[in-house]
Amino acid sequence: MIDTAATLSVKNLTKSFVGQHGIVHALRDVSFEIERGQSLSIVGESGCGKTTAALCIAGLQSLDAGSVTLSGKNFSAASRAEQNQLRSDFGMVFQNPLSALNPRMRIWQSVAEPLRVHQPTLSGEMQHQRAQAALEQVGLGAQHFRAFPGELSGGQLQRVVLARALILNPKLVILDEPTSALDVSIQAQVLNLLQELRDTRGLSYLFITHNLALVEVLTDQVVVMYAGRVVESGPAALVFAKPRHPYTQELIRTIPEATPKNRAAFRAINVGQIQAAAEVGCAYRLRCAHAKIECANVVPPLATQTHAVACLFPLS
Amino acid sequence: MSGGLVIKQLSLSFAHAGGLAAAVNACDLAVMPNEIVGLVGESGSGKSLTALACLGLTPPNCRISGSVQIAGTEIVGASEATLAPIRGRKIAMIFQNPMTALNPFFTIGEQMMGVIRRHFSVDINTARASVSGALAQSGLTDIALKKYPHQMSGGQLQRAMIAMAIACKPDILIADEPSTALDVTVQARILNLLRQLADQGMGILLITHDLGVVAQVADRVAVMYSGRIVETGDTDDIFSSAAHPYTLGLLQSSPVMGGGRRKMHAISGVVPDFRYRLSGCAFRDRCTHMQTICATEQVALKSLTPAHQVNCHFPIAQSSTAAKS
Repeated sequence: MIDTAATLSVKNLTKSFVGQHGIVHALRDVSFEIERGQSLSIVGESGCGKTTAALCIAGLQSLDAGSVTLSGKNFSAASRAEQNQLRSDFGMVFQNPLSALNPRMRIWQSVAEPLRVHQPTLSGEMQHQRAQAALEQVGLGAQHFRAFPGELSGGQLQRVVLARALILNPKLVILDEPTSALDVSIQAQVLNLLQELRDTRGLSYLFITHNLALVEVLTDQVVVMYAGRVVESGPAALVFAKPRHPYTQELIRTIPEATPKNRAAFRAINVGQIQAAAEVGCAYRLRCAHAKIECANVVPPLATQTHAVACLFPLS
Repeated sequence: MSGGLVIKQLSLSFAHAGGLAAAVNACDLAVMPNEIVGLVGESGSGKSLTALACLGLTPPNCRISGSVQIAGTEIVGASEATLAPIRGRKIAMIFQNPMTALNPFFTIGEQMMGVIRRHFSVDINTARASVSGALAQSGLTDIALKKYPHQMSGGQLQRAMIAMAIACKPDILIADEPSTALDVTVQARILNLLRQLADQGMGILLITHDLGVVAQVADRVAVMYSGRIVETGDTDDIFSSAAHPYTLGLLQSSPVMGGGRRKMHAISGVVPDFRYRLSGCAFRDRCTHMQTICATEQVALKSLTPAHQVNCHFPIAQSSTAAKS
C-alpha cells in the first residue's frame, strides 16, 4: 500500500507571517508531489517562499493551512511524538554547514546524533560504527572522524552534514541551497556525490536552489515560485527549454553562464530597480513585459497539466 | 598609463611558525580606464588581499613588496597622509556584503555626505547635489537618503554602496564579489550597472569566483590560484582557448543550462593553505597534466599571444580547447 504512495505530497500549503508592514504571505496554496524515486527542485528569488516551504514540510515551521504527506502518512496532522518518529524518514541539509554543526562535538558524534534520538537502544560501539560507515560513504576518511567542525573545509563539512542526513536511511532528503557556500570546483564534487547517492540508494531529493543551472543536475521536476505562489511547474527539461511564465523566462535569461555566447542578451538587461510584487491580481505583473489590463484583476490559477503555468497570457 | 591601476610584482607575505609564507606572489595586473578586468579565483586564492593592498589596507602583520600605482601615485609604503586623499577619491571599493560595510547607525544620506565632505571643501547643498547625482546613477532616488541600512533590500544596499563609491568620481573602482549575495535577477542589473560605469570611463577591477559573471561583463580576465596569477588574457580568448589546466577545470565545473542529468566535471582536491604550498607549481597535485618538472620548477608567466599569458610548463594547446568549447 505504502509503496505506491508518493514520497512527498504537499497540498495547499499556506503560511503567513505578521511583519512590520503588515502580513507577509510567505506561502499561498502551494501544492506539488514527489513520486517515489523522483526528485524535485524549487527555484525562485530570495523571499519567494522556497525556504519557508522546506521548513513547513520538515515540520520546523507551523502551517496556517494545507497538508504534508510523507509516504502516505499525514505528517502535518500528526502529533508531536508521531512527527518525531516520522522525521527519521527524511534528512535535511542546510546552506551553511558550519552553522549546522555543533562546534564542540566531534564529527562522528554529530553524525551519530540522529541515532541517539531515534535508536536510543543502540550501543555506543554500534553508533560509532554506523557513523564511520556513513562518513566513508560520503568520502571522508578516518582522519576526519575525531576532528571538530572548525578543522574541516566547507566542502568536507557539507559532506559531514550529508552523512548525518543519511544515517537513518531516509527516503527523502531536503537540500536547502547545499552548494551555494562552496567554490565551483568543490560544488561539482558535492553535486557528483549527491547524484551517486541518489542513484545507489534510490533517494528522493527536494532541492531548493536559486541557481537554475543546477536543477537538471539533481532533479527531473522543477517548481518555480514567485511571491509565495507556484507560477510554473513541470519536467525541468521542458520548463527550461520552453518556459511559459515570463518570470521563468527572466530567471533563465539572467543566469550568467560561463560562456560569452549570450553576452549581448545579458547586457541588454536594464539596470533599473526591480518592481515589488503586486498585492492584487498577478503578483508579477508590475515586472512583466507582457502584462495586460486583465492581469490586475485576477490571480491567475495554476493549470493542472504536467507542464503547468499560472499566467493569463502564457508564452508559447 | 598613468590614469589607471598598475600592480607590479606585488607580493604579500605573513610570518608563521614555519617561516614566511606568501599569500600573494609576484602579481602583475593593470586596470585602465574604460575597462572591467575580472580577477577570478576560489576562496583562499589571494584575490581579496590583492584588492586590499591596492587601498593600502593590508593587515599590519603583512609584509608587502612590489609596487601598486594609482594614477601615478605609489601606494606600497605610502603614509596615511598620502593615502587618505586617494582612498575614496582616486580609488574606491565595494564589498560583497553591503550590510556589514555600511554603518547601521547612520542614514545612507549621512554616510554619503561624509565621503563627499571628506574629499571636497563644499557646502552642504553642493554635497547634497552630488550625492543625489550618484544615487540617480546607481538607480536609486533621493528617498534612499533618509533610509537606514536595515530598511533597504540587499539589491538596494548594493546600489547605495555603488553610489557611495562613485560619489567622488574615482578613476578606479574595486568591486569585491559585488553580486554574490544577490539574486540572479538583481545581479544582472548590478553587473550591467558596473558595465555602464566602465563605459563612461571608470576602470573596474571585478573580483569574483564566478566565471559566468566575468564572461558577461569583463573585457579582460586574470585567473588567480594560490597567490599567483596563472592565466591572463582577453575574456573571449580565455573562454575560447583556456591554456592553464586550472582555468579549463574552472570552466568545465561551472554549471550551464540545458546539460540535462549529467556528471559534473570536478577538480579533485582543494585549494591549498598558502602556508603549506607545494614546491614548484602549486596546482600540480590537482592537475591531470602533471610531470616531474612541475614539482621542481616554478614557471614564469609566458606569452601565448601579446595579450594572452599563462603560468604553466605544459599549457593546453590552443586548438584542443577551442575544439572542446
